[in-house]
Amino acid sequence: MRFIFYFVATGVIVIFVALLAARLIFFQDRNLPPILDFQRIHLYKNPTTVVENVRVFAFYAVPSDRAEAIYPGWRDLLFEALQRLSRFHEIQFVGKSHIQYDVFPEPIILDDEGGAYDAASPLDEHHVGLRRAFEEFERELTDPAGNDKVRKFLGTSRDQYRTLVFLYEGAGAYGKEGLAAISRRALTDSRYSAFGDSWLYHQFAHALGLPDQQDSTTGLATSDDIMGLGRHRPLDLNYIAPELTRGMGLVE
Amino acid sequence: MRTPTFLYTLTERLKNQLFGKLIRKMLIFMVSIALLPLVISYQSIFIMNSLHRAEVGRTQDDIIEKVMSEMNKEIDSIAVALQLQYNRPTDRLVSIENNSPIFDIIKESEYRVILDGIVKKRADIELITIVDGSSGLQVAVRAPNFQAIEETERFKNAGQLESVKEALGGKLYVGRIYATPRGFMIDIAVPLRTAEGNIPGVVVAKANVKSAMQKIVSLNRLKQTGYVYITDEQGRMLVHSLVTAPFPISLASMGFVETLLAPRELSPEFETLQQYESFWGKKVIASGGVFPQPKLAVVVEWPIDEANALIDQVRGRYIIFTVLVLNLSILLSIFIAQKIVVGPIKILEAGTKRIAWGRLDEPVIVKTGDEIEGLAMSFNEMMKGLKQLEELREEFVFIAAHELRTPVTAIKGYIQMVLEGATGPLNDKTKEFLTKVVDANKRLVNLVNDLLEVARSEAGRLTVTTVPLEMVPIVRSVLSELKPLADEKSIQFVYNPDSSLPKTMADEGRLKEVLVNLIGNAIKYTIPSTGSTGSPQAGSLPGPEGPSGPRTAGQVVSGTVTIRHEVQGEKLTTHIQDTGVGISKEAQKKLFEKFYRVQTEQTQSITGTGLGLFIVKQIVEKMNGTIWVTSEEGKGSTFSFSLPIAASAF
Repeated sequence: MRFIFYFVATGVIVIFVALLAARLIFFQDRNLPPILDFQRIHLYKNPTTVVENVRVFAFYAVPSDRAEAIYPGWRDLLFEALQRLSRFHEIQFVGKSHIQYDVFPEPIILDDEGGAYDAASPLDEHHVGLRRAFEEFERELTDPAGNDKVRKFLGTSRDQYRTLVFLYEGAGAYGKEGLAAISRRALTDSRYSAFGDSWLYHQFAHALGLPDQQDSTTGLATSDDIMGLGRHRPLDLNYIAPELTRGMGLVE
Repeated sequence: MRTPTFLYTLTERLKNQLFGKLIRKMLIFMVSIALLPLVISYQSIFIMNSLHRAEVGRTQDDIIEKVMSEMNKEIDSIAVALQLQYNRPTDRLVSIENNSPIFDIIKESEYRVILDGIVKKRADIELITIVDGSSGLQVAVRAPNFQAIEETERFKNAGQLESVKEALGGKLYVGRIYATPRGFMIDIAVPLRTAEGNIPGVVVAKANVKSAMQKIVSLNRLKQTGYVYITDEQGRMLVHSLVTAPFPISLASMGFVETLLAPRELSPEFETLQQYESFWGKKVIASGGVFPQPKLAVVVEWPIDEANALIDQVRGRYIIFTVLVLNLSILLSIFIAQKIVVGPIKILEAGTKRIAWGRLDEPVIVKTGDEIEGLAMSFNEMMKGLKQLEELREEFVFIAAHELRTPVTAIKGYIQMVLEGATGPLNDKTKEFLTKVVDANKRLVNLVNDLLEVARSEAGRLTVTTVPLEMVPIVRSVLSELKPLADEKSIQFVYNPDSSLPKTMADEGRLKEVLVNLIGNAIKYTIPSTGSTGSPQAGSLPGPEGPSGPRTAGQVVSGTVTIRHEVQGEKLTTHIQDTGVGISKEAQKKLFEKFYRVQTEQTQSITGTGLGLFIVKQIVEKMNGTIWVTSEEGKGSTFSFSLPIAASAF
């Protein structure tokens, strides 16, 4: 019995040592240390404002003289457009930035008539009149006597980057940090609808701080992406140039 | 640090019982030899492992090369489809008049036909434009799936785009791959050349390469679980062999992909074959390569489970085999050492012990048929020689002692006669000197007698005839004989035998000899000193007829010798207990050897030959008895001997 015990004990020790040696010699992990991605998606060239979670509050803005001509399917139109915008955004930022959106249930009737805000064309960007309209709207949000319903709708969006998106019942387009607006006709008019979504995202991209990609003197597009020539192409064919996403912290 | 008890016990057992010095040597030797195949096995496994690794690397590299080659073909085929031969001599496609483009040579419809021809051939082209080199205007646009934009795209100025500039320079432009909701697109631009070699414009196409890339990676897989994936320059996964759904996954932060896509040349030390935990959490062996234009990372990952399945199996067998060989070597070394070397050596060792004890007639028997058996035979020869020498020595001692006894007896007799006045009156001085001569002669007679006794014993001439005997009368007789000696030293005998003691088988004369010797020693080694005042104890002293006689109260007693008997099974044991000087443990071991005498400060004045106890032992053993001693220094000794009880007593 004692002999069997010693045999087994010796065998176990030898097997253990052999396996340990084999493990040390042949099964070393040569893992490459992963480079941790500490950088977060942020506003273009502004790392202090993180935009990993974007909260879009969408409104249908109607000049006072067009209250009777409200587009019947505006809400669905806006929802669907935001859905496509969100998908595009997800793809471009490889799932590292998400958009959550809500549409205010009622149209917002602006103080002035359309003539005060309208640009010459729905594709007329950075129009002064439209900018004035939305600056008014923003001011009203901070005014205690302002639209209480809207304030409740906006609520508090902690840890989220808040962006206001306007579907404007008139002509023109506008985008700046935290704000984007396009003409309703850009989404419904057959002349523009093929690239209306791109046009909306282009303005939304301004809300994220992205600049136009064009020559400052000639005004000619220097890029083929959505911030350049691509703004007039369908969203399905569009992209954001890596130079721009890199500026927003997407590791490349 | 304390060694755990069980471990200590185990190592001690291993060390002392199983692994003697010789076995350990053999074990080390055998294990050293067995380690050689172990080292060779490990080396073989190492080589096998390296070869396997190289083989895996080669397989993966082949796949990467194939993927890249097919990617190249795909891009080339798009570029070839865009190559147009423009057979009209011109250096511009449109003129600008009043800020409106006017087609110079051919009409827009003709361009459309040209583009239709291309998109019919290649379904992957989503958008194709012809750009006028001089104005940068897109003079013709074809988007088979988005025809609504053809009109709005026309006459947009693309002159600042890198693709247009590059192609106008006469080069093929291959842009980077980018992700769109429709798939992964690539921009390719080629110059539009006239027969004269002018480049009036360029053809720019956006091709959806997702399906083609997916097909390429799907067809290039490794066995069951190995896969290929391609990432764009940003580390965004484009296609994967096993999954066709779109990937919103960036692998840019993964060390391997990051290293491949780094905007620097790969270091020569960088191993393209790596082993790591994949993005999906499985351990993989991976190889990677960089597709130059558009810059893409092509990675082949093969889960280790499958990649190493065969090698693991072989390696496992190797290890088991090696361990078995090693174990077998250990067992064999123990067996060989035990059976062939240690066993016979132990027999030889026992033989030497027998020689030391004087048992020269028991030969060493070793049957190994080798040198050790030869050694055992020589050993037996040596024993024979020693036995002859011993016999000669015994004979010599016997004869010498015998021859000495006659003259010393004569000397004794004549001196006694002289002392008794046979030669006339002696003065006191002469008497004193002659008394000393008598004493010396007496010691010489004793020595000669003892020597003769020893010689007889060793020569086998010690005659003993055992008959059933009553022990008590013999003891009383001896006590009576030795009483004067005891009285001289004020030593008290205590003997209260049981009247029902059985008879023992003994030789009366020899038994007396034994008792005289043992009781005599007890008296001799009880050193007189200021003793206690004894008082006669009822039943503790011999009766009035006993040899000692009653003692009176107040008489000084310097020691006691107690004799008692005890029946132990079929033996009657007699104990002679004294209150003497006692014997050390060390001395007790040698007490029954020839010529051994206990030499202490207290005993140095006591004379003796050192043969008494040896003779006693021989006699007791001759009577089929045994003798032993128990003693403690300073407290006295007890000599005991047991003899067989006579059969009639049962």
